[in-house]
Amino acid sequence: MLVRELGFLIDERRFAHEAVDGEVIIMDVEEGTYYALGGSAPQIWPVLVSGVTLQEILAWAARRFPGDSKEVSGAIETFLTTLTDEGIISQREVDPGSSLDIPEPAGQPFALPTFDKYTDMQDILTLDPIHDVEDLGWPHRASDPDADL
Amino acid sequence: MVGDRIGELHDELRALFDEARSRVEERARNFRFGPFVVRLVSLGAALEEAHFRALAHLEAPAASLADATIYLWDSKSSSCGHPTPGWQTGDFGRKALVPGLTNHRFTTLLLRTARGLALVDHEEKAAFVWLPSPESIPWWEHAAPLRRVLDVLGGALGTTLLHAAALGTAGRGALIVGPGGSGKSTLALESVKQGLDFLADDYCLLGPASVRDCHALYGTAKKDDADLDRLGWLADLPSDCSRQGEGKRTIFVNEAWPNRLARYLHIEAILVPRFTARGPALAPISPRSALMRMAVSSLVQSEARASTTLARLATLVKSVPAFELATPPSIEALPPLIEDLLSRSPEPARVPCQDET
Repeated sequence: MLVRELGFLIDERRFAHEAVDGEVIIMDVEEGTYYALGGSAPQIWPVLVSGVTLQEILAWAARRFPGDSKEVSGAIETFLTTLTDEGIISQREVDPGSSLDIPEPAGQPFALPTFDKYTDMQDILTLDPIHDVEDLGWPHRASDPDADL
Repeated sequence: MVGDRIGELHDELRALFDEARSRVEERARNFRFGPFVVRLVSLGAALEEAHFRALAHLEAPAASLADATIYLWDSKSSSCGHPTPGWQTGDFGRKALVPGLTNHRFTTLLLRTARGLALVDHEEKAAFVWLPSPESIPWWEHAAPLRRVLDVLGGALGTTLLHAAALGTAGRGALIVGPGGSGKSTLALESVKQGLDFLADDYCLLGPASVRDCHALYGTAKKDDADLDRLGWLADLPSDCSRQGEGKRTIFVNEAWPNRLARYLHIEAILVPRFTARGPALAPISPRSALMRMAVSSLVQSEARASTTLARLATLVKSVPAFELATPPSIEALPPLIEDLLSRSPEPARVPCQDET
Protein backbone atom coordinates (compact mmCIF):
# COMPACT_ATOMS: atom_id res chain seq x y z
CA MET A 1 0.00 0.00 0.00
CA LEU A 2 1.54 3.28 -1.08
CA VAL A 3 1.70 6.19 1.33
CA ARG A 4 0.64 9.48 -0.21
CA GLU A 5 2.86 11.60 2.04
CA LEU A 6 6.01 9.82 0.87
CA GLY A 7 8.03 10.18 -2.30
CA PHE A 8 10.03 7.59 -4.25
CA LEU A 9 13.64 6.49 -4.46
CA ILE A 10 15.13 4.63 -7.41
CA ASP A 11 17.77 2.02 -6.70
CA GLU A 12 20.35 3.69 -8.95
CA ARG A 13 22.99 1.09 -8.20
CA ARG A 14 20.83 -1.64 -9.66
CA PHE A 15 18.61 0.15 -12.19
CA ALA A 16 19.64 2.50 -15.00
CA HIS A 17 17.01 4.37 -16.99
CA GLU A 18 16.89 6.36 -20.20
CA ALA A 19 14.23 7.89 -22.46
CA VAL A 20 14.36 6.59 -26.03
CA ASP A 21 11.78 6.69 -28.83
CA GLY A 22 9.05 8.05 -26.55
CA GLU A 23 9.51 5.31 -23.96
CA VAL A 24 11.49 4.95 -20.78
CA ILE A 25 13.86 2.00 -20.86
CA ILE A 26 14.93 0.63 -17.47
CA MET A 27 17.75 -1.89 -17.14
CA ASP A 28 18.36 -4.12 -14.14
CA VAL A 29 22.15 -4.30 -14.27
CA GLU A 30 22.30 -7.18 -11.82
CA GLU A 31 19.66 -9.53 -13.19
CA GLY A 32 19.68 -8.68 -16.90
CA THR A 33 15.96 -7.94 -16.78
CA TYR A 34 14.82 -4.88 -18.68
CA TYR A 35 11.64 -2.89 -18.88
CA ALA A 36 9.90 -0.56 -21.33
CA LEU A 37 7.48 2.02 -19.96
CA GLY A 38 4.94 3.41 -22.42
CA GLY A 39 1.56 5.12 -22.57
CA SER A 40 1.63 8.04 -20.13
CA ALA A 41 4.50 6.48 -18.15
CA PRO A 42 7.26 8.48 -19.93
CA GLN A 43 5.44 11.66 -18.85
CA ILE A 44 4.99 10.42 -15.29
CA TRP A 45 8.59 9.21 -14.97
CA PRO A 46 10.37 12.60 -14.67
CA VAL A 47 7.82 13.65 -12.07
CA LEU A 48 8.37 10.42 -10.18
CA VAL A 49 12.14 10.92 -10.05
CA SER A 50 11.92 14.62 -9.15
CA GLY A 51 11.69 13.90 -5.43
CA VAL A 52 8.09 14.89 -4.66
CA THR A 53 5.41 13.00 -2.74
CA LEU A 54 2.82 10.67 -4.24
CA GLN A 55 0.17 13.23 -3.32
CA GLU A 56 1.96 15.85 -5.43
CA ILE A 57 2.39 13.41 -8.30
CA LEU A 58 -1.36 12.77 -8.32
CA ALA A 59 -2.13 16.50 -8.11
CA TRP A 60 0.21 17.08 -11.06
CA ALA A 61 -1.52 14.32 -13.02
CA ALA A 62 -4.96 15.82 -12.32
CA ARG A 63 -3.78 19.09 -13.87
CA ARG A 64 -1.97 17.44 -16.74
CA PHE A 65 -4.63 14.94 -17.76
CA PRO A 66 -8.15 16.39 -17.70
CA GLY A 67 -11.00 13.95 -17.27
CA ASP A 68 -11.87 11.42 -14.62
CA SER A 69 -9.30 12.19 -11.93
CA LYS A 70 -10.16 9.02 -9.99
CA GLU A 71 -9.39 6.91 -13.02
CA VAL A 72 -6.09 8.74 -13.55
CA SER A 73 -5.11 8.46 -9.89
CA GLY A 74 -6.03 4.79 -9.75
CA ALA A 75 -4.04 3.96 -12.87
CA ILE A 76 -0.99 5.84 -11.63
CA GLU A 77 -1.10 4.21 -8.21
CA THR A 78 -1.36 0.79 -9.84
CA PHE A 79 1.60 1.64 -12.05
CA LEU A 80 3.70 2.86 -9.13
CA THR A 81 2.77 -0.23 -7.12
CA THR A 82 4.05 -2.39 -9.98
CA LEU A 83 7.35 -0.51 -10.05
CA THR A 84 7.60 -0.91 -6.28
CA ASP A 85 6.85 -4.63 -6.44
CA GLU A 86 9.61 -5.03 -9.02
CA GLY A 87 12.05 -3.34 -6.64
CA ILE A 88 12.75 -0.51 -9.07
CA ILE A 89 11.49 2.15 -6.69
CA SER A 90 10.77 2.33 -2.99
CA GLN A 91 8.98 4.91 -0.90
CA ARG A 92 10.97 7.38 1.17
CA GLU A 93 10.68 10.67 2.98
CA VAL A 94 11.21 13.57 0.64
CA ASP A 95 13.20 16.70 1.34
CA PRO A 96 10.93 19.49 2.56
CA GLY A 97 12.39 21.78 -0.08
CA SER A 98 11.49 19.47 -2.98
CA SER A 99 9.18 21.03 -5.51
CA LEU A 100 7.81 20.04 -8.84
CA ASP A 101 9.65 21.67 -11.73
CA ILE A 102 8.12 19.88 -14.69
CA PRO A 103 6.42 21.71 -17.59
CA GLU A 104 2.69 21.10 -17.58
CA PRO A 105 1.12 21.50 -21.02
CA ALA A 106 -2.40 20.59 -19.94
CA GLY A 107 -5.14 19.06 -22.01
CA GLN A 108 -3.48 15.88 -23.19
CA PRO A 109 -5.70 12.83 -23.06
CA PHE A 110 -4.66 10.26 -20.49
CA ALA A 111 -3.24 7.00 -21.75
CA LEU A 112 -2.85 4.16 -19.29
CA PRO A 113 0.80 3.80 -18.27
CA THR A 114 2.18 0.56 -19.66
CA PHE A 115 4.86 -1.63 -18.16
CA ASP A 116 6.54 -4.35 -20.21
CA LYS A 117 9.06 -6.64 -18.58
CA TYR A 118 11.62 -8.63 -20.59
CA THR A 119 13.55 -11.55 -19.14
CA ASP A 120 14.79 -13.11 -22.36
CA MET A 121 18.39 -12.02 -21.79
CA GLN A 122 18.71 -13.54 -18.32
CA ASP A 123 19.34 -17.14 -19.36
CA ILE A 124 21.55 -16.18 -22.26
CA LEU A 125 23.67 -13.97 -20.09
CA THR A 126 24.18 -16.59 -17.43
CA LEU A 127 25.28 -19.06 -20.12
CA ASP A 128 28.09 -16.77 -21.20
CA PRO A 129 31.29 -18.19 -19.68
CA ILE A 130 32.66 -14.71 -19.07
CA HIS A 131 29.74 -14.08 -16.75
CA ASP A 132 30.64 -15.32 -13.31
CA VAL A 133 27.42 -15.11 -11.32
CA GLU A 134 27.29 -18.85 -10.71
CA ASP A 135 30.79 -19.09 -9.32
CA LEU A 136 31.20 -19.30 -5.56
CA GLY A 137 34.72 -18.03 -5.83
CA TRP A 138 36.42 -16.12 -3.08
CA PRO A 139 35.18 -15.57 -0.47
CA HIS A 140 32.92 -18.53 0.17
CA ARG A 141 29.23 -18.16 0.82
CA ALA A 142 28.30 -17.57 4.42
CA SER A 143 26.55 -20.97 4.45
CA ASP A 144 29.81 -22.69 3.57
CA PRO A 145 31.18 -24.38 6.71
CA ASP A 146 34.67 -23.34 5.56
CA ALA A 147 33.61 -19.77 5.10
CA ASP A 148 36.57 -17.48 5.50
CA LEU A 149 34.74 -14.19 5.66
CA MET B 1 34.38 4.00 9.20
CA VAL B 2 34.16 2.79 5.61
CA GLY B 3 36.80 5.27 4.48
CA ASP B 4 39.24 3.99 7.09
CA ARG B 5 38.70 0.38 6.02
CA ILE B 6 39.29 1.20 2.37
CA GLY B 7 42.32 3.29 3.23
CA GLU B 8 43.73 0.41 5.26
CA LEU B 9 43.12 -1.99 2.36
CA HIS B 10 44.89 0.41 0.00
CA ASP B 11 47.88 0.66 2.34
CA GLU B 12 48.00 -3.11 2.78
CA LEU B 13 47.89 -3.79 -0.96
CA ARG B 14 50.60 -1.23 -1.64
CA ALA B 15 52.80 -2.78 1.09
CA LEU B 16 52.20 -6.30 -0.22
CA PHE B 17 53.05 -5.23 -3.75
CA ASP B 18 56.27 -3.56 -2.57
CA GLU B 19 57.20 -6.69 -0.63
CA ALA B 20 56.51 -8.88 -3.65
CA ARG B 21 58.49 -6.53 -5.88
CA SER B 22 61.53 -7.07 -3.68
CA ARG B 23 61.33 -10.80 -4.37
CA VAL B 24 60.13 -11.15 -7.97
CA GLU B 25 61.35 -9.53 -11.15
CA GLU B 26 59.25 -6.56 -12.19
CA ARG B 27 58.07 -6.43 -15.78
CA ALA B 28 56.50 -3.24 -17.06
CA ARG B 29 54.80 -2.68 -20.41
CA ASN B 30 52.70 0.13 -21.78
CA PHE B 31 49.49 -0.43 -23.72
CA ARG B 32 47.47 2.09 -25.67
CA PHE B 33 43.69 1.95 -25.29
CA GLY B 34 42.42 4.66 -27.60
CA PRO B 35 43.66 8.02 -26.37
CA PHE B 36 45.08 6.58 -23.16
CA VAL B 37 48.24 4.72 -22.24
CA VAL B 38 48.01 2.24 -19.38
CA ARG B 39 51.18 0.91 -17.78
CA LEU B 40 50.97 -2.69 -16.61
CA VAL B 41 53.53 -3.53 -13.94
CA SER B 42 53.44 -7.28 -13.35
CA LEU B 43 55.65 -9.33 -11.09
CA GLY B 44 56.98 -12.52 -12.62
CA ALA B 45 56.98 -14.03 -16.07
CA ALA B 46 53.88 -16.20 -15.63
CA LEU B 47 51.58 -13.33 -14.78
CA GLU B 48 52.96 -11.17 -17.56
CA GLU B 49 52.46 -13.98 -20.07
CA ALA B 50 48.89 -14.57 -18.93
CA HIS B 51 47.98 -10.95 -19.58
CA PHE B 52 50.24 -9.90 -22.43
CA ARG B 53 49.26 -12.14 -25.32
CA ALA B 54 45.73 -10.79 -25.78
CA LEU B 55 47.00 -7.22 -25.55
CA ALA B 56 50.25 -7.53 -27.53
CA HIS B 57 48.94 -5.60 -30.53
CA LEU B 58 48.28 -2.57 -28.33
CA GLU B 59 51.76 -2.36 -26.80
CA ALA B 60 53.03 1.21 -26.73
CA PRO B 61 56.63 2.43 -26.48
CA ALA B 62 58.17 2.04 -23.04
CA ALA B 63 58.88 5.76 -22.95
CA SER B 64 55.20 6.67 -23.36
CA LEU B 65 53.77 8.74 -20.55
CA ALA B 66 51.17 6.59 -18.81
CA ASP B 67 47.71 7.94 -17.97
CA ALA B 68 47.08 5.07 -15.53
CA THR B 69 49.02 2.23 -13.93
CA ILE B 70 48.01 -1.30 -12.99
CA TYR B 71 50.11 -3.15 -10.40
CA LEU B 72 49.69 -6.90 -10.68
CA TRP B 73 51.11 -9.67 -8.52
CA ASP B 74 50.33 -13.06 -7.04
CA SER B 75 51.10 -14.80 -3.77
CA LYS B 76 52.42 -18.05 -5.23
CA SER B 77 55.14 -16.45 -7.35
CA SER B 78 56.16 -13.96 -4.70
CA SER B 79 55.69 -16.08 -1.56
CA CYS B 80 53.85 -13.10 -0.08
CA GLY B 81 50.74 -13.45 1.99
CA HIS B 82 47.15 -12.89 0.96
CA PRO B 83 45.56 -9.50 1.51
CA THR B 84 43.20 -9.36 4.47
CA PRO B 85 40.43 -6.98 3.41
CA GLY B 86 38.43 -7.59 6.56
CA TRP B 87 35.28 -7.71 4.57
CA GLN B 88 32.00 -9.03 5.87
CA THR B 89 29.02 -10.60 4.21
CA GLY B 90 27.18 -7.31 4.07
CA ASP B 91 29.99 -5.69 2.11
CA PHE B 92 29.26 -7.67 -1.05
CA GLY B 93 26.81 -7.07 -3.84
CA ARG B 94 25.63 -9.36 -6.61
CA LYS B 95 28.43 -8.33 -8.93
CA ALA B 96 32.19 -7.96 -8.71
CA LEU B 97 32.08 -4.51 -7.16
CA VAL B 98 32.18 -4.64 -3.37
CA PRO B 99 29.88 -1.83 -2.25
CA GLY B 100 31.05 -1.99 1.36
CA LEU B 101 34.61 -1.25 0.31
CA THR B 102 33.90 1.33 -2.38
CA ASN B 103 33.67 5.09 -2.07
CA HIS B 104 34.12 8.17 -4.25
CA ARG B 105 37.84 7.53 -4.62
CA PHE B 106 38.28 3.74 -4.49
CA THR B 107 36.45 0.86 -6.14
CA THR B 108 37.07 -2.61 -4.73
CA LEU B 109 36.44 -5.56 -7.03
CA LEU B 110 36.11 -9.17 -5.93
CA LEU B 111 37.56 -11.22 -8.80
CA ARG B 112 35.41 -14.23 -8.04
CA THR B 113 36.57 -16.69 -10.66
CA ALA B 114 40.26 -15.91 -10.19
CA ARG B 115 39.76 -15.74 -6.40
CA GLY B 116 41.57 -12.41 -6.33
CA LEU B 117 40.79 -8.79 -5.66
CA ALA B 118 41.47 -5.42 -7.22
CA LEU B 119 41.39 -1.93 -5.81
CA VAL B 120 41.03 0.91 -8.32
CA ASP B 121 42.12 4.37 -7.19
CA HIS B 122 40.17 6.88 -9.31
CA GLU B 123 42.16 9.81 -7.97
CA GLU B 124 45.60 8.39 -8.67
CA LYS B 125 44.42 6.54 -11.81
CA ALA B 126 45.96 3.34 -10.49
CA ALA B 127 44.85 -0.19 -9.69
CA PHE B 128 46.30 -2.88 -7.44
CA VAL B 129 45.38 -6.36 -8.62
CA TRP B 130 46.20 -9.35 -6.44
CA LEU B 131 45.78 -13.01 -7.41
CA PRO B 132 46.56 -16.18 -5.46
CA SER B 133 48.57 -17.60 -8.37
CA PRO B 134 48.92 -17.26 -12.15
CA GLU B 135 47.02 -20.54 -12.49
CA SER B 136 43.99 -19.10 -10.74
CA ILE B 137 43.12 -17.09 -13.85
CA PRO B 138 40.37 -18.98 -15.71
CA TRP B 139 40.87 -19.71 -19.40
CA TRP B 140 38.35 -17.16 -20.64
CA GLU B 141 40.13 -14.36 -18.85
CA HIS B 142 43.18 -15.08 -21.00
CA ALA B 143 40.96 -13.87 -23.82
CA ALA B 144 39.99 -10.69 -21.97
CA PRO B 145 42.56 -10.07 -19.22
CA LEU B 146 41.91 -7.39 -16.61
CA ARG B 147 38.51 -6.67 -18.14
CA ARG B 148 36.86 -5.53 -14.93
CA VAL B 149 39.81 -3.41 -13.89
CA LEU B 150 40.01 -1.74 -17.31
CA ASP B 151 36.24 -1.22 -17.20
CA VAL B 152 36.42 0.69 -13.90
CA LEU B 153 39.73 2.42 -14.63
CA GLY B 154 38.43 3.38 -18.07
CA GLY B 155 35.37 4.88 -16.45
CA ALA B 156 37.69 7.16 -14.47
CA LEU B 157 39.32 8.17 -17.76
CA GLY B 158 36.03 8.72 -19.58
CA THR B 159 35.79 5.56 -21.71
CA THR B 160 32.89 3.09 -21.74
CA LEU B 161 33.29 -0.67 -22.01
CA LEU B 162 30.92 -2.13 -24.58
CA HIS B 163 30.05 -5.81 -24.95
CA ALA B 164 30.15 -6.08 -28.74
CA ALA B 165 32.19 -7.30 -31.66
CA ALA B 166 33.50 -4.58 -33.95
CA LEU B 167 34.49 -4.98 -37.60
CA GLY B 168 35.30 -2.47 -40.26
CA THR B 169 36.92 -1.31 -43.41
CA ALA B 170 38.78 1.91 -44.23
CA GLY B 171 38.26 3.22 -40.71
CA ARG B 172 34.48 2.74 -40.75
CA GLY B 173 33.08 0.27 -38.28
CA ALA B 174 30.04 -1.83 -37.47
CA LEU B 175 29.22 -3.07 -34.00
CA ILE B 176 27.82 -6.59 -33.72
CA VAL B 177 25.81 -6.70 -30.52
CA GLY B 178 24.10 -9.41 -28.52
CA PRO B 179 24.78 -11.71 -25.60
CA GLY B 180 27.21 -14.62 -25.59
CA GLY B 181 26.06 -17.27 -28.05
CA SER B 182 24.51 -14.81 -30.46
CA GLY B 183 27.13 -15.40 -33.14
CA LYS B 184 29.42 -12.42 -32.62
CA SER B 185 32.66 -14.42 -32.55
CA THR B 186 31.86 -16.61 -35.52
CA LEU B 187 30.88 -13.62 -37.62
CA ALA B 188 33.96 -11.68 -36.51
CA LEU B 189 36.30 -14.52 -37.44
CA GLU B 190 34.59 -15.18 -40.77
CA SER B 191 34.74 -11.46 -41.57
CA VAL B 192 38.41 -11.07 -40.83
CA LYS B 193 39.11 -14.22 -42.87
CA GLN B 194 37.39 -12.55 -45.79
CA GLY B 195 39.41 -9.35 -45.42
CA LEU B 196 37.49 -7.03 -43.11
CA ASP B 197 39.38 -5.35 -40.29
CA PHE B 198 38.99 -6.82 -36.79
CA LEU B 199 38.72 -4.59 -33.76
CA ALA B 200 36.88 -6.78 -31.23
CA ASP B 201 35.24 -10.13 -30.76
CA ASP B 202 33.57 -9.41 -27.44
CA TYR B 203 34.65 -6.15 -25.81
CA CYS B 204 35.64 -2.72 -27.07
CA LEU B 205 35.93 0.78 -25.64
CA LEU B 206 33.89 3.79 -26.62
CA GLY B 207 36.05 6.88 -26.50
CA PRO B 208 35.63 9.81 -24.15
CA ALA B 209 35.25 12.41 -26.91
CA SER B 210 32.51 10.64 -28.90
CA VAL B 211 30.54 7.45 -28.46
CA ARG B 212 31.16 6.76 -32.14
CA ASP B 213 34.89 6.44 -31.46
CA CYS B 214 35.49 2.72 -30.99
CA HIS B 215 38.85 1.58 -29.63
CA ALA B 216 40.38 -1.89 -29.43
CA LEU B 217 40.92 -3.85 -26.24
CA TYR B 218 41.69 -7.49 -26.97
CA GLY B 219 43.05 -9.22 -30.05
CA THR B 220 41.28 -12.48 -29.25
CA ALA B 221 38.14 -14.49 -29.96
CA LYS B 222 36.58 -17.24 -27.85
CA LYS B 223 35.21 -20.34 -29.56
CA ASP B 224 33.79 -23.70 -28.58
CA ASP B 225 35.72 -26.61 -30.00
CA ALA B 226 32.39 -27.90 -31.30
CA ASP B 227 32.51 -25.10 -33.87
CA LEU B 228 35.64 -26.64 -35.34
CA ASP B 229 33.53 -29.35 -36.93
CA ARG B 230 31.59 -26.69 -38.78
CA LEU B 231 34.42 -24.22 -39.33
CA GLY B 232 37.44 -26.48 -39.80
CA TRP B 233 39.76 -23.61 -40.69
CA LEU B 234 39.60 -22.40 -37.08
CA ALA B 235 41.79 -25.32 -36.05
CA ASP B 236 44.80 -23.81 -37.83
CA LEU B 237 44.63 -20.50 -36.00
CA PRO B 238 46.91 -19.64 -33.04
CA SER B 239 45.03 -20.59 -29.93
CA ASP B 240 45.36 -21.41 -26.27
CA CYS B 241 45.67 -25.15 -26.88
CA SER B 242 46.13 -25.95 -23.21
CA ARG B 243 42.43 -25.24 -22.72
CA GLN B 244 41.21 -27.61 -25.40
CA GLY B 245 40.36 -30.23 -22.81
CA GLU B 246 37.62 -27.92 -21.59
CA GLY B 247 36.06 -27.82 -25.05
CA LYS B 248 36.79 -24.15 -25.51
CA ARG B 249 39.68 -22.13 -26.79
CA THR B 250 40.96 -18.62 -27.07
CA ILE B 251 41.98 -17.75 -30.62
CA PHE B 252 44.62 -15.05 -30.95
CA VAL B 253 43.40 -12.96 -33.84
CA ASN B 254 46.25 -10.51 -33.31
CA GLU B 255 48.72 -13.28 -34.17
CA ALA B 256 46.68 -14.85 -36.97
CA TRP B 257 45.95 -11.61 -38.87
CA PRO B 258 48.27 -8.89 -37.57
CA ASN B 259 47.67 -6.81 -40.70
CA ARG B 260 43.90 -6.82 -40.32
CA LEU B 261 43.73 -5.45 -36.83
CA ALA B 262 42.03 -2.11 -36.36
CA ARG B 263 42.80 -0.20 -33.20
CA TYR B 264 40.23 2.46 -34.03
CA LEU B 265 36.97 2.49 -36.00
CA HIS B 266 34.39 5.21 -36.44
CA ILE B 267 31.06 3.51 -35.79
CA GLU B 268 28.68 3.74 -38.75
CA ALA B 269 26.19 0.98 -37.97
CA ILE B 270 24.91 -1.33 -35.24
CA LEU B 271 24.02 -4.87 -36.26
CA VAL B 272 21.95 -7.31 -34.22
CA PRO B 273 22.30 -10.88 -35.53
CA ARG B 274 19.20 -13.07 -35.63
CA PHE B 275 19.48 -16.68 -36.71
CA THR B 276 17.12 -17.57 -39.55
CA ALA B 277 16.79 -20.26 -42.17
CA ARG B 278 17.01 -17.64 -44.89
CA GLY B 279 19.13 -14.60 -45.45
CA PRO B 280 21.43 -12.85 -45.22
CA ALA B 281 19.52 -9.60 -45.06
CA LEU B 282 19.56 -6.29 -43.25
CA ALA B 283 16.38 -4.76 -41.85
CA PRO B 284 16.39 -1.40 -40.06
CA ILE B 285 15.39 -1.45 -36.39
CA SER B 286 14.54 1.40 -34.03
CA PRO B 287 17.00 3.00 -31.61
CA ARG B 288 14.87 1.53 -28.83
CA SER B 289 15.32 -2.02 -30.13
CA ALA B 290 19.03 -1.49 -30.65
CA LEU B 291 19.46 -0.15 -27.14
CA MET B 292 17.59 -3.05 -25.61
CA ARG B 293 19.72 -5.61 -27.43
CA MET B 294 22.99 -3.79 -26.83
CA ALA B 295 22.74 -2.35 -23.35
CA VAL B 296 21.67 -5.28 -21.20
CA SER B 297 24.71 -7.48 -21.70
CA SER B 298 27.07 -4.50 -21.43
CA LEU B 299 25.50 -3.23 -18.22
CA VAL B 300 25.30 -6.62 -16.54
CA GLN B 301 28.99 -7.22 -17.21
CA SER B 302 30.13 -3.75 -16.25
CA GLU B 303 31.02 -2.35 -12.84
CA ALA B 304 31.13 1.23 -14.11
CA ARG B 305 28.39 3.71 -13.26
CA ALA B 306 25.31 2.25 -14.97
CA SER B 307 23.52 5.54 -15.56
CA THR B 308 26.54 6.96 -17.40
CA THR B 309 26.94 3.83 -19.50
CA LEU B 310 23.26 3.69 -20.46
CA ALA B 311 23.19 7.40 -21.31
CA ARG B 312 26.21 6.99 -23.60
CA LEU B 313 24.71 3.93 -25.29
CA ALA B 314 21.43 5.81 -25.79
CA THR B 315 23.39 8.60 -27.48
CA LEU B 316 25.03 6.02 -29.71
CA VAL B 317 21.80 4.37 -30.86
CA LYS B 318 20.29 7.78 -31.58
CA SER B 319 23.23 8.78 -33.79
CA VAL B 320 23.94 5.57 -35.71
CA PRO B 321 21.56 3.44 -37.80
CA ALA B 322 20.80 -0.02 -36.45
CA PHE B 323 19.83 -3.15 -38.35
CA GLU B 324 18.73 -6.66 -37.61
CA LEU B 325 21.10 -8.96 -39.45
CA ALA B 326 19.24 -12.06 -40.62
CA THR B 327 21.92 -14.72 -40.20
CA PRO B 328 21.58 -18.00 -42.09
CA PRO B 329 23.36 -21.20 -41.05
CA SER B 330 26.02 -20.52 -43.65
CA ILE B 331 27.54 -17.14 -42.93
CA GLU B 332 29.95 -16.69 -45.84
CA ALA B 333 27.71 -14.06 -47.44
CA LEU B 334 27.55 -11.83 -44.36
CA PRO B 335 30.95 -10.06 -44.55
CA PRO B 336 30.31 -8.70 -48.08
CA LEU B 337 26.96 -7.42 -46.85
CA ILE B 338 28.65 -5.60 -43.96
CA GLU B 339 31.35 -4.22 -46.24
CA ASP B 340 28.73 -2.95 -48.67
CA LEU B 341 26.80 -1.31 -45.83
CA LEU B 342 29.90 0.46 -44.55
CA SER B 343 30.94 1.60 -48.02
CA ARG B 344 27.52 3.22 -48.51
CA SER B 345 27.82 5.24 -45.31
CA PRO B 346 27.06 8.87 -46.16
CA GLU B 347 29.74 10.28 -43.90
CA PRO B 348 33.46 10.18 -44.58
CA ALA B 349 35.25 8.13 -41.98
CA ARG B 350 36.60 10.27 -39.15
CA VAL B 351 40.37 10.43 -39.17
CA PRO B 352 41.55 9.60 -35.68
CA CYS B 353 44.26 11.55 -33.96
CA GLN B 354 47.78 10.25 -34.36
CA ASP B 355 47.82 8.79 -30.88
CA GLU B 356 44.56 6.90 -31.44
CA THR B 357 45.80 4.80 -34.36
